[in-house]
Amino acid sequence: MKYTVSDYANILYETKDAEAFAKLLERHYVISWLPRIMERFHALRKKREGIADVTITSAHSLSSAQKDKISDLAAHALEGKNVSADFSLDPSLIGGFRIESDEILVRGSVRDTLEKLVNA
Amino acid sequence: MAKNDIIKNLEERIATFQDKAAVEKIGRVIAIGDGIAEIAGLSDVVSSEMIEFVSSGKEGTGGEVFGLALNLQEDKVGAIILGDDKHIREGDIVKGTGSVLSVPVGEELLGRVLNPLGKTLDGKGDLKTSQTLPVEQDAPGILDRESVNTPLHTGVKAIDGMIPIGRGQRELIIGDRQTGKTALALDAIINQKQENAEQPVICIYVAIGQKKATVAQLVRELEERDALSHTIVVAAFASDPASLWYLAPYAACSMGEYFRDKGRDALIIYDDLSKHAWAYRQISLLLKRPPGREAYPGDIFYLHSRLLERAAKLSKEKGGGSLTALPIIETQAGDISAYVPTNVISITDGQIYLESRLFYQGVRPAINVGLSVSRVGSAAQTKAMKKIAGKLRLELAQYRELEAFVQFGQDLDPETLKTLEKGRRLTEILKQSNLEPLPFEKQVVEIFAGTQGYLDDIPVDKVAAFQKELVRYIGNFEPQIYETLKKEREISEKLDTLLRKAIEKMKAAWKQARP
Repeated sequence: MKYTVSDYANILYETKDAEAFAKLLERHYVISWLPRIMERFHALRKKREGIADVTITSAHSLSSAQKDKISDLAAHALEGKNVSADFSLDPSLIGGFRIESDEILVRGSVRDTLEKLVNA
Repeated sequence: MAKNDIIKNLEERIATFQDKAAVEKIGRVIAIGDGIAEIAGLSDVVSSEMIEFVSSGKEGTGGEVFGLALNLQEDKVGAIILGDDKHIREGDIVKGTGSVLSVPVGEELLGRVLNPLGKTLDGKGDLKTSQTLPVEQDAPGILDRESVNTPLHTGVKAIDGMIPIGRGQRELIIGDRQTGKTALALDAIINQKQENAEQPVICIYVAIGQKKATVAQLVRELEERDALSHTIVVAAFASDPASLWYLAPYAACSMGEYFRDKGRDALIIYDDLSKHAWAYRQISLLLKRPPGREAYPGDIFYLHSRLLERAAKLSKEKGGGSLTALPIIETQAGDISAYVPTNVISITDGQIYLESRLFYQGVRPAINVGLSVSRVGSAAQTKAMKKIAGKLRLELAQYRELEAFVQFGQDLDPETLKTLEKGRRLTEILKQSNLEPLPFEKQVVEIFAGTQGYLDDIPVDKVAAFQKELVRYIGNFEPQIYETLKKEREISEKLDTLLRKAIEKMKAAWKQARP
């Protein structure tokens, strides 16, 4: 039986025993897979625990109340996942904001509206 | 006037424009190369859905590239890119379109050269058709079908006589390179106009992985012979990505199905499916699907069976249309037992086997009549052809059996000698020049003269000339023979005597001119 990177990531997530896991990798001669396994492990952990990384870009700096409101919006769009938001500024958006994650995109800036108008 | 109108139009459009920021499901490119992309996200994409690559910085400019989602995995989606992948970068946004890939279809496609996505390649302007059909469609069911009952004349004596093809049949053309496979297909296309000038069988020629020069030459030849007006050429060139090679036959098949479902008759030629299998092998290996025999993926059989199953003769309730398929397979050194050839042989309703040995002996078309079969076409053969060609097959088989002895140079009894002499003449009858398909009625006359023994005292090297003269003579002096044959499609007793008389008369004149 040959295991895949995903399988190892799963094992690590289930057992949570790093030492035993390292020994297992050594026994299976797949230590070199470790970077790929860890990458997969982090993705897996986020998926299982319902955490989503979100980048929120706005044209102007936001108040904390605004930040909370937009984060809630993002959580709603991501079907109730725990959102860990990262805020950044981009004046070229002119106004409004943009929510980006690995799975969704919400284009709510003035620039996006103008772009859509051009293509309409 | 224009200025105000345009401004008004714009104002209206802006006034009615509504924008609501909506949640778009996206994915991101994690790897790209060799016409393949791996994408993270896109959690709600379905198999073979069209996806859209939005190149960074080019968002909303209309220069989008499309792809086809093929591999749906736990953490990523594997997709082939339809077109240029140069501008796609890692991290680019990918969107699902929610629809499967479709191509334009319709009457307007006739006479055009298209790529597998329906873009025109002949510089005659864009297509204006609004109708589209999905590239992958289910084959007609059992109840919608009817058994093959109408012949599809290719204009090649050896095929129409001995390996008849019916409308809705799938007949494989197989042989090494340079044995005249494409030429046979071209003959069939050209002949459709000769058979029925008002409503010819619609022909679709699919070039898979061929050189641009070859396709250009082919289109020119069709044009010269007035055969382009009822033909659609779908071409995926050698320089196109493998994804287009892979799509070409399916896209072309949908274009043919449009006519089939309208009750028309269509003929589709896949030139060739070996290259198609190579393209699919490339895509599969790059998508990391496990390789099997000859490194082809496990579903290589299904790849061709689902394509060829779409060729059908529909029942009267469904309009009675048909789609006949002539797939072409190129063998390496005559090996018909390789993986892809055996697959396609078992899918099709018979095969026309071309041999380079025969080709170099001067037997052209180089059809090996012994190995070629048509499993359903004989049901559709015209009565006239059935009557005269049944004998042809038998006599040729006897001749081939004896041919081996002759090489030892033994003394032969007169009976054997007679069979041999006749066999040589029959082989001569079946020879035909490239791109000169013969209408059905003329074929009947030529084969009739051969099997009824009228050629026995004509020297073998004069047979071709005699036949040509005979066909011309009947056309000039006894045209009613052709007309009756065309109308009745059988040799009645009356026609039999008429034909015999005509041949005898012509032969007497021929002998007099050449003492």
